[in-house]
Amino acid sequence: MAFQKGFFGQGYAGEDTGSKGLIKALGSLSKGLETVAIAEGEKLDKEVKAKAEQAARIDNFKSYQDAVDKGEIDNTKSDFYIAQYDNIKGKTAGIEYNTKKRLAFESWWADQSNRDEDDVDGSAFMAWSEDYDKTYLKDLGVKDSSSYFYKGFDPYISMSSQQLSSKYASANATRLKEKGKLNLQFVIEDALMKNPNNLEEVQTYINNLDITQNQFRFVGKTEFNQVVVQSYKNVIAEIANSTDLNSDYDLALALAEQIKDFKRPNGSRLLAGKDIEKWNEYIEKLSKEKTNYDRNITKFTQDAAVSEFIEDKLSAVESIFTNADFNDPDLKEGKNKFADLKVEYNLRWNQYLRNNKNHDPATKISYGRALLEDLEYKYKYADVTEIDTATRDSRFNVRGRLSAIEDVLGALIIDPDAQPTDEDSQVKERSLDTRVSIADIRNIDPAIGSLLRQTNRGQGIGNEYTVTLQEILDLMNEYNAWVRSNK
Amino acid sequence: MCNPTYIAIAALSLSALQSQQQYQADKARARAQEDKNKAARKSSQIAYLADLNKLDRDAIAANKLAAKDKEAGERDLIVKQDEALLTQLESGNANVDAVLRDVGFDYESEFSKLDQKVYDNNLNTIFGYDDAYAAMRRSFNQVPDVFKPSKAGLLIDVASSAVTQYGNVQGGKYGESKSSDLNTGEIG
Repeated sequence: MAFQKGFFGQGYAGEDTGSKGLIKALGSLSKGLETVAIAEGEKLDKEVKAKAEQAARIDNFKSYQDAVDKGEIDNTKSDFYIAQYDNIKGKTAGIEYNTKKRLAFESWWADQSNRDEDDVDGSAFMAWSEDYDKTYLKDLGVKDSSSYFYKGFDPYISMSSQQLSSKYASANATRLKEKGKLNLQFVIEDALMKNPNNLEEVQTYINNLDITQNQFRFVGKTEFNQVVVQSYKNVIAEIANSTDLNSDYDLALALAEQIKDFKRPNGSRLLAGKDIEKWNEYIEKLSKEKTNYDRNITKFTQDAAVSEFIEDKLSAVESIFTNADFNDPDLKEGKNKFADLKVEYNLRWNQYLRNNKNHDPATKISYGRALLEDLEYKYKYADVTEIDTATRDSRFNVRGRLSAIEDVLGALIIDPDAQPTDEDSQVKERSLDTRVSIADIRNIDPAIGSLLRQTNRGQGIGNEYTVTLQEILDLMNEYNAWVRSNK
Repeated sequence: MCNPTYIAIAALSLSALQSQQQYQADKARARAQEDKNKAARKSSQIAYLADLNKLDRDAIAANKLAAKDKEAGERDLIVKQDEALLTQLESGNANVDAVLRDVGFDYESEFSKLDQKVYDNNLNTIFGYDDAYAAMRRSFNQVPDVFKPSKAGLLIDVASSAVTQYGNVQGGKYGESKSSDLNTGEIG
């Protein structure tokens, strides 16, 4: 049987659409008002923010509280206004702080650059920065500063520290490198100046520098080479100053030459490619400078009297070396010897002048004379090479020339007893001597005459022989004496 | 320019009014649902009574039919026994009672069947009562629960809106500044 046939089922209460609509309308209106409130709030905030910023930028108070304390602003402003106001004040203070800290950094960096200690880990900067910040904030004098002030101020602290840290890191690295280069330059220059006469030792010392000295670890290999070259140049510039009486161009040139062959421990050279060419030009320029210097230094260091005396003496010596004895058509070594003598004389004379600028003229003349005598003696005894004693026409082939001499004498009709005139004194004297000698030369005693003696004893006639000018002079003197004694 | 805080307060008022209206609407709806539920329950109970009535009617009709059958059987038995008695008496059978018993025995099982049928009818009617009740319970169970809006909930809702708006004002959702920031206090 089916039960509950009469049950008409469950009914459900319907919604009250009127109420529902009202509720919905109220909700919408509430939301709308909220949106308006938000919009009005944002608008108000913008205006207040602008007002606060404007106020903060045109007054000179340190903070809102400072302005309130001075009675220039009422203490009724909202936190938002205070926040904006103090935030701008904080930013302004931050900009000032940033500027001052940068300036302070430049000053500190200038001091730091002159210190010997190297701040390789940045600790010196960090200590300075922290100390500066601490002192600055303490002296900032912002009474009861709100957190908004520091919110505006703080970014500048971190920004400033970051920028300065970066700058410091870069500058310090450059400084360490430059300092290393500078120290390296000093060390090399010092070594060169201390051992100017032992450049090989200096070279070894330099080559060991980058191995033994930790302070040069910041200097790269290429820079190391450049510093070495520059150090040499500096030393050269110092010792080869054309306006300095104590300049030593010889050493300067020696240094310049050494750079050309300077080898690093790894076998590489300091100079390569175009640098070598430039360096050669540099050496050439230095040589020319030396010539000028020598000429100038002589003028500068001796007065007219000394100069005149020396020139006279030099002319006298020159005449010795270029007279008939030493400078006939067969014997030109006299001129050559004098050229060598003059070079050495100039070197030594200039050296003397450089080292003894304060000597009085008499002393200088005395030295100059002694020097010339020494050099004259030296070059007279200097070897004259490749004297041909084998050729028939050779003046030193005495025996071989006898017939030629006879021919000449035959053409000269000169009275042996006649006194030579002024015009032909040398010719006559010479002819006389020669003519007289011819008479006995066939019977010349080998014991007489250095040249002949040595010729006979040594290589024998016909061979090349080496004698000194003095020996030639002695031969001539002995020969003449012998001639005179056998008149 | 309107003060955003005042606008926010107005919004809060409307929000509170909205909550109150919602409360009233919920309350009216609960009441209406309650009325509906009452009618449904009443309908279910009426249907239950109708079910019982039908069960009773069916049982009575069935029992009446069994009684009628039994009555007809008895009448027929009486006729049969009278016929048998007369026959035996005519034949001079002394043991008439035995014959009558035999006739009565033939009808005994039929009468038992009719009794059993009545019993079954009554039993089924009782079971039908249970089923009708269960059906009524099912109908009752279909009635939805009615939840009345809570006054405390309304108060909490309003308070919650107020707190939210207060938080919004304090949190700067409607601006962080005050109108007075613009009106006075110009820097001199």
